[in-house]
Amino acid sequence: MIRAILVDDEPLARDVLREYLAAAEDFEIVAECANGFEAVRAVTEHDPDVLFLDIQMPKLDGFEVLELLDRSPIVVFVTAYDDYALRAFEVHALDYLLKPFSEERFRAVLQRIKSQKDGLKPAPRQLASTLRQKPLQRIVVRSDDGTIQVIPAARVDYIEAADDAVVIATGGTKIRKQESIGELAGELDPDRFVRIHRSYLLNIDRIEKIELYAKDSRVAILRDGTRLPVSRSGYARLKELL
Amino acid sequence: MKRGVLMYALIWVVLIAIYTIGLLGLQMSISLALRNAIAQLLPDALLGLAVMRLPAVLPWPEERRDRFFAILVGLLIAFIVIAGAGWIGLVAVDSMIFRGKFAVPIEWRLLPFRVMNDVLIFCMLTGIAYARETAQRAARAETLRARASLEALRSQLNPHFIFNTFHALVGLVRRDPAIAESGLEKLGDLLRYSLRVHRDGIDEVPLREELAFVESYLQLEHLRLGDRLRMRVDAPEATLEYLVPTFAVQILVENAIRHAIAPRAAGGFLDVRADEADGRLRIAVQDEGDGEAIAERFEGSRMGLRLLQDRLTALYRGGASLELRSVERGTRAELQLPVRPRGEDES
Repeated sequence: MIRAILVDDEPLARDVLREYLAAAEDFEIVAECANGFEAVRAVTEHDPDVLFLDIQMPKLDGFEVLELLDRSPIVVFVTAYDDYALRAFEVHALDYLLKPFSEERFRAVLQRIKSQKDGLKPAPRQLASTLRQKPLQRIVVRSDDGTIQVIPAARVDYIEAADDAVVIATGGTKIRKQESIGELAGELDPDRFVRIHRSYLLNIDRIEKIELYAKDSRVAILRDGTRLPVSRSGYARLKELL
Repeated sequence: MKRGVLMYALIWVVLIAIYTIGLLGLQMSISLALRNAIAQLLPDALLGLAVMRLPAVLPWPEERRDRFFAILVGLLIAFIVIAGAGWIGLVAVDSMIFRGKFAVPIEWRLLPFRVMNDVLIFCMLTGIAYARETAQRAARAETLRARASLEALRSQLNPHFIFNTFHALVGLVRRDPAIAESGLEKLGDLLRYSLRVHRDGIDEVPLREELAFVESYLQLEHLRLGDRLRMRVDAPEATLEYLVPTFAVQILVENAIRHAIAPRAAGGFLDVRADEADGRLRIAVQDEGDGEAIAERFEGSRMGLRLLQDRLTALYRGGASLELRSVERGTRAELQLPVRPRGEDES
């Protein structure tokens, strides 16, 4: 049996998937999810073979779900209309279904899944970061206890490197995320986030002033009073932007 | 146009009055001073009307300005000669009427002042004429630009909505053919409205049509969201013939559903209301969702609300307003438009 999870925020769309899957042999539905949060939880809990994943969902979209998974089922993206996503699927040879789709088209996808079930799967996190549209509008974080946080990019004050992870400072709270600061710097809006230092990525909207601290070393003072070091090259980048 | 001519005449009357007062200072009688002022200025005033039309005949040149200015100098000389002839003629007529004999009692030593006056008047009039022309052209260009951007903004039916609805209907075809049929019919109505707006370049429709469109839209959303979407649409008969921008209500409704109702497992209640007060049409779309921050609503649906705001500015200048605010247990979007019944000439 191939174990599947269905994710779509619309009940009627889930009905379609459920009916088509019921007619197919060898497939079993282990969970149905109406949003991205449920999807992340269900995949962690059930470890399915295949995930039918809607992309446009409120709060947490399909790509963000993918980014939060550690295990990788085969993913079939289900989408209504999204040029960007379609191009990404073509480039990465991913399975996808365009709404509306018939049972016949659905069966063709199931056939492909069967043939690739034991093949190699890309790591979901890498795949997600290539698929997500840049620059990121929000950062998703899953903590060790499984809770998911969605941080709008505009709310981020600064990001600090911490070993191989980062600490995201937003409105007084600090949230840890398993991603390198270099990677994140490449994904966020370069007109808003500046690498002011090897270990710091700063939202320029938060800057109150820059002060000379010693020869060739400066310090950025944020609106909330936080002081962050600014390296020489960081200052050059900052000057270019301001 | 009429107002322009009246204004022009008024300015000359004032000039003649000033001129008369000046002559009174030279110990002339009122009658003589006034007649002199009229004889001096009337020909200039009449010729000036032709000067004001100059931009239409002789457009401001993008290049070869020297030629343009040469023509203007020629016209200036003609202006001085013709106006001067008119002046002499009027003085002669005046003499026939008030002295009973043909004579031209002119102090020739004042001629240089007259010429200088003509030069000043000609320069001022051409200056005003070309400045007015430029301002009018800028205004026309602005209108055209607004029109062009309206073209792009008019058709607003969200493609996600269309395809997702199609998909939902595919699912219903076997399970509930009757609902699938009526859903397809509604979707057809929506697409027809959208196409018509786009094809005929319609910027405004009577509220009745927009609300019919919104009702179809809501029924399809209801199909997709089920009982999570509860709604009421209420507009008094009297408001139904007033014009509203196409898709204006739909955008507000879509925004409320997307941000307040669809994300919530329990759904929410949507209240659409129209009324009229103080010559303004007020349309309020209120949702009872979890009251997501207003800023985020604007951020999240830039394409919808921002474009609506741009269209309001293009269509009504400052005469319309769109306001989003938090109310108890939800968000209220209120659109206010100047009342304009269907059929009223727009130009």
